[in-house]
Amino acid sequence: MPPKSTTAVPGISADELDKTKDVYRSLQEKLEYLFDSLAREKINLELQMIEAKKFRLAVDSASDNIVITDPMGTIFYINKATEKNTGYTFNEAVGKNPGELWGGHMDQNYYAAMWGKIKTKKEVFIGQFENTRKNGEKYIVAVDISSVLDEYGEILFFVSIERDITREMMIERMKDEFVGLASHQLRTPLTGIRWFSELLLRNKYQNLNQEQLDFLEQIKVSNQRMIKLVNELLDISHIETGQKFEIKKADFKVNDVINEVLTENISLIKTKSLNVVNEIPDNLLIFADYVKIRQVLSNLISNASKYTSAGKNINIKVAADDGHGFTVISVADEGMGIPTAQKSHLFEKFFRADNARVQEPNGTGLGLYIARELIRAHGGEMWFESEENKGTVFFFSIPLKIN
Amino acid sequence: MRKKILIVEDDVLLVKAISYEFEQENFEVFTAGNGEDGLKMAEQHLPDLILADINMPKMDGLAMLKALRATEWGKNMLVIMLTNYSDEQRVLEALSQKAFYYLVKSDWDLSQIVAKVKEKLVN
Repeated sequence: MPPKSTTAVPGISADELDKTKDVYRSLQEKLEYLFDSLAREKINLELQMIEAKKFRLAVDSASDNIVITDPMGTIFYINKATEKNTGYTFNEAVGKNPGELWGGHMDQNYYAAMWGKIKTKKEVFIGQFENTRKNGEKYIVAVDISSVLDEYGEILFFVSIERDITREMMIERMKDEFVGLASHQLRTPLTGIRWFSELLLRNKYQNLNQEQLDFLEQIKVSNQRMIKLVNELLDISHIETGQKFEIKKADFKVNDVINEVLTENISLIKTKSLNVVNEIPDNLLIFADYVKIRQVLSNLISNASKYTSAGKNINIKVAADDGHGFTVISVADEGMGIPTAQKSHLFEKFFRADNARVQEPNGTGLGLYIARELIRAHGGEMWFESEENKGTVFFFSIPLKIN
Repeated sequence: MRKKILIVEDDVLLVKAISYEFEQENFEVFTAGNGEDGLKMAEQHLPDLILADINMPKMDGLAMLKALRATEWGKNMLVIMLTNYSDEQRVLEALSQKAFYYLVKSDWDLSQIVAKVKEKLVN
């Protein structure tokens, strides 16, 4: 405290004067403090305004369409990308509903699902819309709509971020059509090579020597590789376009398929003197899609034949009912096994284990990926157990008929 | 009695291979290069089984199958679709018209196709 004043003011005692001065000083201190706070607040607000301006600028000039609406869906902001993409100006859009401008062309249920997600559940909606620009042109957007909530959890507004994917979709479709067309066109000449080399390989007139037959065998093997590649390309294009495999189930003998597949691989099995032990009972039926199970077994058995060392075993087994409503079939090889660090990648598209790459440079890494998709389309699952330098067992399960 | 088989396929090389195979297997083989001719041949020769391609000029294999099913003589005729297409839509359409197999040509040896035909004709 400063020393008390001794200056006399007429009519006011020194004591009173001191008290008044104290009050004044205290007020002054408070005012100074307030002033400081205000100054700080002012700087804060200025900073916030700069921040807000930055955000506004960022949103304004973002390359994706950004649309902000109130909880009723009435637009109060669109950014420049939206103006450019839709053809509507800011002033034309504000106060309107997207459905009155570019939207409203999807199925009503689709919009209902969107509202349910953002308004009721207050979750992010991710989807696609087919919209119309002001000039009548159709376009497709990938959207991501989130609800912005206040401190009580009430919706303040919706922010929709949309990306025009019309061009990507078109390119994607053209690519798929091309793959489809090319693959189908390739099948005719491939069939010609397959069938005529089959006829020649029978050596009906006994006039081909062993060397010629070996060459023919090479033609057949190359031909089969190309056929497999075409089939895989078509399957991948099928999976990539989000189509589901249609599974046409019927009862058939597993061994019919296995025998067909073993015949296909017979030359490799013979050359390497592999011992195939098939423990599946001859009359065992499964209820599945014949062609697709053949494709899966063909993949597993040809892999097993490729990777099993010469003179070793391939074991094919079955658990007719695994106790959980599935038949489980397994194909075990005595090959190099899958390196531990790479096991988790085995079913990934285009993945090939390092040691498999060395032993068999020509694989595509698509076979197992497709095989698992085919089994999953049946309602089953595919998995494996593997030990390096010992071998790998692949298992797949197929639901029993009663399921 | 030799079994009669009708092959409806527009690719002459493939017709050559598959006819040869069935003749070797002692079938009586008829061929047609499109669905329209295929339908006429089917009515004329009443084959025990038809092997039909899909993508052909004039009338495709699925249209032929549909037309066949609309006739009194062809409504129960055995048909195998042997084609380049593996898309679900065509497979389902063929199966709904009671084609009992749908085979992608390049996936089968001639001997396997013969085996499938014989298995069906024996039963």
